[in-house]
Amino acid sequence: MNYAWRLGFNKTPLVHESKPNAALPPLFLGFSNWKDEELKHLHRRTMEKAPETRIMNNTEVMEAIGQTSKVRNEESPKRQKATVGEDIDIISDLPESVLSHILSFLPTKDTVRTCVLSTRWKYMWKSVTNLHFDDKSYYGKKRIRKAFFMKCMDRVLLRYANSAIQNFHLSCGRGYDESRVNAVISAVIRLKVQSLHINYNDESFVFSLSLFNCNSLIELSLRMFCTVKVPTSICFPNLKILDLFKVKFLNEDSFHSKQLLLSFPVLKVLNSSFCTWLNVKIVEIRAPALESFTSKYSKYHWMVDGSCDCSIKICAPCITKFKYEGYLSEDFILPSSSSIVDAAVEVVTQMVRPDQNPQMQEMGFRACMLLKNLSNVKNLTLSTEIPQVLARVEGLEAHLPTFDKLIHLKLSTLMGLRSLSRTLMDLFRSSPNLEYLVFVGGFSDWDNDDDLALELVPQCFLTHLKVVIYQNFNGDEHELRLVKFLLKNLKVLEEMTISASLDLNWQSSPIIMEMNRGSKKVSKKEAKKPLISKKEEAKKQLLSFPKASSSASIVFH
Amino acid sequence: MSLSPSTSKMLSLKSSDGKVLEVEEHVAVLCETIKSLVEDGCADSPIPLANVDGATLGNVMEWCKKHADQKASADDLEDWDAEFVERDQGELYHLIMAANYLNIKGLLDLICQKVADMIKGKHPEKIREIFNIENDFTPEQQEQIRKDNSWAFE
Repeated sequence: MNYAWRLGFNKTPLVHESKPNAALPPLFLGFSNWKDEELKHLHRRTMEKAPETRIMNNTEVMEAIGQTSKVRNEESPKRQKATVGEDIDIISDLPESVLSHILSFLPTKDTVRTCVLSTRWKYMWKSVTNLHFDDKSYYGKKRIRKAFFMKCMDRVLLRYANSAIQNFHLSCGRGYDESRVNAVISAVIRLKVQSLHINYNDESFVFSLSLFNCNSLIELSLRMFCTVKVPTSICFPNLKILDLFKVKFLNEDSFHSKQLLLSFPVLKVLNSSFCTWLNVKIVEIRAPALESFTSKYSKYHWMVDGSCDCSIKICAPCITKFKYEGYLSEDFILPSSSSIVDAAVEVVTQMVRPDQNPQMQEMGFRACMLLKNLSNVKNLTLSTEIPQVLARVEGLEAHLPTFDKLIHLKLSTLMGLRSLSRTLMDLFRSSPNLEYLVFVGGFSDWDNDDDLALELVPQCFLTHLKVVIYQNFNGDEHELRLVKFLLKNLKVLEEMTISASLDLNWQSSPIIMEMNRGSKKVSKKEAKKPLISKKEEAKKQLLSFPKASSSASIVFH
Repeated sequence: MSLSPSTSKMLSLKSSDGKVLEVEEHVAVLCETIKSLVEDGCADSPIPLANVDGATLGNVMEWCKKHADQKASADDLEDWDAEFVERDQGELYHLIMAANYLNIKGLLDLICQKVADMIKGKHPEKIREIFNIENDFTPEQQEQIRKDNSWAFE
């Protein structure tokens, strides 16, 4: 039990040596300036507390932790309380590594403020390598003065002059001095930061980041409505996660090259939302290890100025997850993308006026191109308006790839579409092995049986499609037509589950039905009839439809 | 704590106060310390955990069991964790020490976050009160420290 010796306090008179069972709290770690009086006092205190199991454990844990804790000379053990039970200071007993870990979860301002708590805490904040600056103060949610905020960051960064930091998080509002913010980022990069998050909103701001070609970065998140100047070639050798939100990238060398080359040798995840590429024709992303890529609404203002049309080429042979949401305003090229297993594509046409037919057609072809890249998917989600865009493509079936491996198809919110049935039939015919089909409600139309009679029945209907799930069912006529059509043609269907929408449930609740009846004039005879809800009506119809697969079970709830 | 019998291999863990806990291996290996013992083939006899008492070990394994459950959704786990950390400071202390010793990053982060939340945005006097920290500075010393880091106290 000779802790003092093991921890290097050999100058101290070893009072505890003669009493090997005395429990030492970990506070003893690192205090070399013992005075005899203090030791006696401490010893008395620990003996008083000895029956408490907590102290016993501390001692043992201390043995394990002791080696990793640093020796601190400037602290003294005076702060201990003689009281026992509920009133003891537990938190200060934690090993320094753990306390430092706790402080790393706090905004840096809070971390630094702990220095006045007691001598034990005086320098604790200096061991924290996660820095988190937010110019919103916590009291009253007011933003603090800009000059003062900058000073805080400078002061803290100065302290790290010679050591590395792991995590730097900056979150601030508009109106800061460009050169000062750029200087802070440069300083952080010099400190070999591994994880950098910048959250900044100032449209007029131009970042001339020394960020690019940074070796230490493992995770980078830029969420800022700012312009960032980029050189024509960028490499992040160790970056694994890249998250970009609302960033406007400006090609610095717009006279010579309109091509950007971004290489990420070990990048695994790339998320890009609402980003814009200015003065660029081609963005080539080389990410041999990339697993997941999400692109949302890039260059969302292209329809307005029309000038920044560019193609994005992603060379990612290992990519398995792909998600696209947007206006198809750019060409999306995914060479060697046969590895993609999960994909979700959502196309929005709001920016296109209905009379802009050529643009819709262009979008249709781009959608086909994108789907061609996804020919090996197992799970595919298509949402909003992609069928509407596809419908503009003449002879669609010839343009669609065959989704040989597609098992699970999810279709959501198919609104405002005239030739929905035919587009979907083309899609089903291109997916011969489809087993699960999910509709996420919001259907606008489905043709009559007669109109579909001439259509060739998709292969998957005959041999594979076994589960259909229809969510948010409204009980409308065209929805019933769709269900009827499916039941009539799905030869191997095992299960169809239909769940009523909130609206249908609401309309069908007894109270609402009574209220509705109350507001109408009804004959006495009619008033005596039991009320039949729209939901029950729909259910009755659903169950009466003929089924091609006799073993299929239909669940409606 | 009782664990339902399963085909998974069972490990015996012995706490500092001599209590033996039978835990499924796939649950116990959430502790990196135990995982490396298992990988080295040293996990046959009851594994002595001299730094963790029985009650704490039970709590730790309860957390591990929940987090080893493949069926639990992220939302579900978040709610469960939020309830799990509703404990007095003594228990939190033991859990932190155990998570640190057994090297369970998820649990250590969870409890450290909980303690950090107790500190966040509070004045030093309030923090001292919450944790019973005795101010052992002289008024002059305290004034000097505040002055040195004045920007943090504005």
